[in-house]
Amino acid sequence: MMGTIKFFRVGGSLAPRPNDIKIDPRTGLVRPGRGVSVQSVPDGLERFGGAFELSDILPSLTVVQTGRNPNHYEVCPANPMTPADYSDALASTHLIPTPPSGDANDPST
Amino acid sequence: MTLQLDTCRLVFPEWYDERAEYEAEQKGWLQGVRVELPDGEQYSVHFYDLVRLGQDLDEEAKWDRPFVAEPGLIVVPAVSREAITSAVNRLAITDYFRHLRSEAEIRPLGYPLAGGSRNATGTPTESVAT
Repeated sequence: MMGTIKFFRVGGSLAPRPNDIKIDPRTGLVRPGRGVSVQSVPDGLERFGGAFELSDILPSLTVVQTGRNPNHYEVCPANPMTPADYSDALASTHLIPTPPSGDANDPST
Repeated sequence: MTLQLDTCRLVFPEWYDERAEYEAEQKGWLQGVRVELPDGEQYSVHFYDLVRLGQDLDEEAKWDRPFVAEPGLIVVPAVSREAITSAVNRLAITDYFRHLRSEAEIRPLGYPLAGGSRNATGTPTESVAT
């Protein structure tokens, strides 16, 4: 089911920012369960530079629904990994510019 | 960004721009914010909404950490500017922040964990009794 959902990122970068991750102080590794924000609906993102569809997400990453908005997800480490490995994995994900067109995950649109 | 409230100032981290504000509400958590009282003392606070708090508790439990603990944790209905400022104003009135350690009181190198570090905002994410 998860594999059929399209995910969209605000702006053209997946570079993590401080409020995207938590570092385990004992290991220095990025904890799973948090990551850069993406959405399953691309609309409303024009003010931040538009929506970009994610493609070719590495298996070392996992996309999980987080927060109150059911359309909000985060691209998280599947397992603890170094900040550099996490950034590299995100950077390898392709971002495809997408025009706003309603619910991209709605097969009727 | 700094917001002047009735009782104090809210100092947001330098990366906190319009997009970060939007994403913090979506995520349901925000770190790196400091409350500055009129005497200049600053206190780090950490905001959560209830949904994300539960989700993080579930996630941490998967990794044998069945708890969520952050210095200065404040749970709000939504991690929005309105909810944050309302909560901080009311907490400042009741001197809540005086129960916390100010930034000046926190030891800069007080976390003797192997490979220990602070998070990207400089705030320790887990404290250990010494």
